[in-house]
Amino acid sequence: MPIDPIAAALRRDAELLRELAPPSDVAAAWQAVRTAQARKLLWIITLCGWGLRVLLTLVALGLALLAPDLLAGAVLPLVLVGWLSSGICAPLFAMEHRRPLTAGLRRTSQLR
Amino acid sequence: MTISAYWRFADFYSAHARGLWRYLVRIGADRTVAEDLVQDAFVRWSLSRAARWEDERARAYLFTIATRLLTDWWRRQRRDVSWDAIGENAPTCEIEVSPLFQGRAWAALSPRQQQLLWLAYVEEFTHDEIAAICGVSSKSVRVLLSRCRAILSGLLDSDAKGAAHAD
Repeated sequence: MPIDPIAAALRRDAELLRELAPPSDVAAAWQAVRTAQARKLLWIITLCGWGLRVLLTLVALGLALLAPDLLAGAVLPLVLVGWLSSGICAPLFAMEHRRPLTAGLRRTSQLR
Repeated sequence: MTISAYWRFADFYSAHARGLWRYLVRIGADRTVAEDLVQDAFVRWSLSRAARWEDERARAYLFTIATRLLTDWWRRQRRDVSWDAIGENAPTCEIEVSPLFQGRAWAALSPRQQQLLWLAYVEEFTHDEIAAICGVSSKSVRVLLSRCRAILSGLLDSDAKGAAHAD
């Protein structure tokens, strides 16, 4: 079978380059993946938190408009205002989702 | 995240991390940049649906991610994003004993040509996979590869003749 000189030259170079390649650190790479997964989860939680706030606020406003004489019409908005200003969900304000998924990860190149 | 997911990742990473690094270095990335891009590519790959695909398809997708990350990196460096316009970049990791670097054959190729040749002959991707990675049409890969082969062949020949004259 004739040897393809182009393929042979490229593969020879690849073999030589293999020796210069950095060692593959699976543990560090897996840690980076887990960090990115945690950041993605936080992004989803943040989104759900804001969705819940908007929904509850709309419900409270609706109740206040539809049944202002009822106790719920007054109490619920007050409870919501208190909840929104209390900082109960303070981590949700971090707005982590503005950062790229891989931001802040420890770089393999920085380990050396 | 299950233990099987970890082992799947570990196997895939061990099998392809070095190959991906070599690819990035040979198409013009700096060594350290290539290391970082490999890590980013694997993170993005593991968060995508491709993490559940079979190995060959997932590998092609991984190379696509890495290629796009490198393009983005170049863009951030305010260089021209066109592959053909960045030919003046000096290739990194030149190996003197390598047939590609005994003359100026590899450096004379454009990054697009380097990319096509590497993916076809070192990584042995199919034309369809190369088309997806490079963002060109599947039909044009055959023609482009044929041209690249002819150019590299000519360059290697002229390098060999030059070396013979020098002797």
